[in-house]
Amino acid sequence: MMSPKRKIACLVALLLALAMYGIDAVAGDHGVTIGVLQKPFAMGVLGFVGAWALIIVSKMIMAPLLQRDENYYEEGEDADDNNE
Amino acid sequence: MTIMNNINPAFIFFGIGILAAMTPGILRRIILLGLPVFALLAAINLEVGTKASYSFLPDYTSYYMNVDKLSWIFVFIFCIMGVIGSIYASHNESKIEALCSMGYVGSAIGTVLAEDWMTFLFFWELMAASSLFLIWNEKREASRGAGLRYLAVHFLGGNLILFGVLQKLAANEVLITCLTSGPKDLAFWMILTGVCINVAAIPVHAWLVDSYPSATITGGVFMSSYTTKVAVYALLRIFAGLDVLMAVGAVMAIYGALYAIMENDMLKLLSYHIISQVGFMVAGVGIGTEMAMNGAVAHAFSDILFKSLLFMCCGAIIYATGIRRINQLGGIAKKYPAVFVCFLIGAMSISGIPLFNGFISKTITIAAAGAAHYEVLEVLLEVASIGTLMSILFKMVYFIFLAPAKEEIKVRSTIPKNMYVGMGLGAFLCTFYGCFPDYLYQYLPYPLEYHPFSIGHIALFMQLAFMAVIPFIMYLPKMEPHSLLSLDTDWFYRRPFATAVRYCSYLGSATCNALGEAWGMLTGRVMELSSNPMQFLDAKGFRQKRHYNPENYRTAIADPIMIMLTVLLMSICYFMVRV
Repeated sequence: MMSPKRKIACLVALLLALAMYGIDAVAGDHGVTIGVLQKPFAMGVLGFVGAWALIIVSKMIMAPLLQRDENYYEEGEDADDNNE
Repeated sequence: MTIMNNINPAFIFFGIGILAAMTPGILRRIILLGLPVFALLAAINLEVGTKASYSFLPDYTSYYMNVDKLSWIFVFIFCIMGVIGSIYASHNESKIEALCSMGYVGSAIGTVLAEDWMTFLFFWELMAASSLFLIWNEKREASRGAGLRYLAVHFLGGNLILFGVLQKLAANEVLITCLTSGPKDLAFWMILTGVCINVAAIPVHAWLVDSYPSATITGGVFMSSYTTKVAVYALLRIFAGLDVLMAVGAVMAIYGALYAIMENDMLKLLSYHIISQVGFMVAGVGIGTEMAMNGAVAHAFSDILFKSLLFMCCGAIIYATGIRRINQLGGIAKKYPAVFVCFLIGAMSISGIPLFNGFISKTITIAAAGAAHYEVLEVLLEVASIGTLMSILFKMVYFIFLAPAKEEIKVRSTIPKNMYVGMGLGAFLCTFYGCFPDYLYQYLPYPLEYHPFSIGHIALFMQLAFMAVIPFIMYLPKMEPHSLLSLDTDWFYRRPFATAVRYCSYLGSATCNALGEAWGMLTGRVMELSSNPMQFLDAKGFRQKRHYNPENYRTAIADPIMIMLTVLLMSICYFMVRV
């Protein structure tokens, strides 16, 4: 469960993003050429989904597969030195 | 000012390096603080269109200076970084480091200004050699190994380019030309692979993450700025518009961001971000339009400023506390507010926050991808931007500077003032170019009509940034890094390949020992036999006895006694019968 502070921070971020969407909708000239990203609040959704996907892939898929003890390489190299 | 006209700044840096190596303490500091400015002035005064060459062999001329708009902007930013870096590093006691860092800057500039293949290759190799000593000068056990691996990888890359260049020279192509539209022959692929090694393209990127954090603190600042950017320049010059580079760039951008989210070591995290940011530039080269090429150049310019600033800030923290791991830090903002402000500026710059220089350069490449209708590439680069935002602006800023420290952080030494000056200059330039992008845009190699500060554009980017904060806060406990090492493609040559080499070495040693022993036995036997030819001729002795024994050649005493007694007994018997 998230602490109240974190919930408030999320809510503030969401409100700011919506405010930015409002400004963007009024201003219009944002230079985006992709059709999908021109839909309302599409960049906001991309920001959320992109960040979420990066965390999932990095922390929950790659980290368990690829992370090892910090001395992982040194152990092998030390063994080598001892053999020498 | 006229004295400085059309002098190759590379030679000034070489001179500064040699002077710094020969002078003692305070004088060396003065040289490092003051003289690089002359190289910067020389760069500013270089006129586009200037060419210079020098013939020093009967059939060979080195075209060592060719100033066009593309090479000039790289020389300019390399000189700016040379000034900032030498100020930051001026407290160093090591003469070797002063020589190598200035030599490294000079060779990077020499590579960029070279017009012919051989001069280009000469400075390219000099750059690798001088940077190697920035790693070995750290004098840690890890740095020794990292330096050797750096040497091996760059030796491979340099030789690939050399083979390609030799084929070009054999075809009488002396000057560097764009190879994209030419034949895709062996020389093309060899030069491309060699350059891709230096640009840290996936999967030949691991040398960067391995070596940069292993260098000295000040050496890392220099290294973060030059090797990969020179390689980006080489791609722009030789392989502009090569389609495959778009995919290479997109993979680099995403890959670097993913690893950066996992990483715990500050300098390794920043090294992964070099890969990610260089991915933007490589993608820009691959798109090949004028806007994309401008984007790649502008982002290389910005990246040198903000990445060196981030390395300088992390270096200052390591210098002061001796701690490299993010999970052992916390609350640094209170202890070092100036470092925090500089780091924040660097973090906002690399994340592309408006009014900082990342925003005015990164978005050009993304917009160029969209304008050229490479929609997937545009989305991938946006996602990579989110990764940068999360791992540097959110993760590093929060866990290093704002979150409470788990243990009390002991201050080991005071940060020297020259380090603060270096960081301050970097932070100022990141903000200056971020607020006044035209000072950069006017020097780009192609005309550019791009206005990053439209309200819609800023609002759109901030929308993306604010929404990206939400998952970070949601997963905050998971975002905290741990004291673990992330395996990368260097695993292949540090583990299975190293094991294979080790066993091959054991096998070779065992075979050598066995052959040695067999030879020793054989020669011993021959010596033994040749010392006594009689033994050799005696079959029995040869087979049964190892050494000559005279007893073997004597008859037993019992035999003659028995014969004599038998003869005596038979004689007595005979005489008795006769009588």
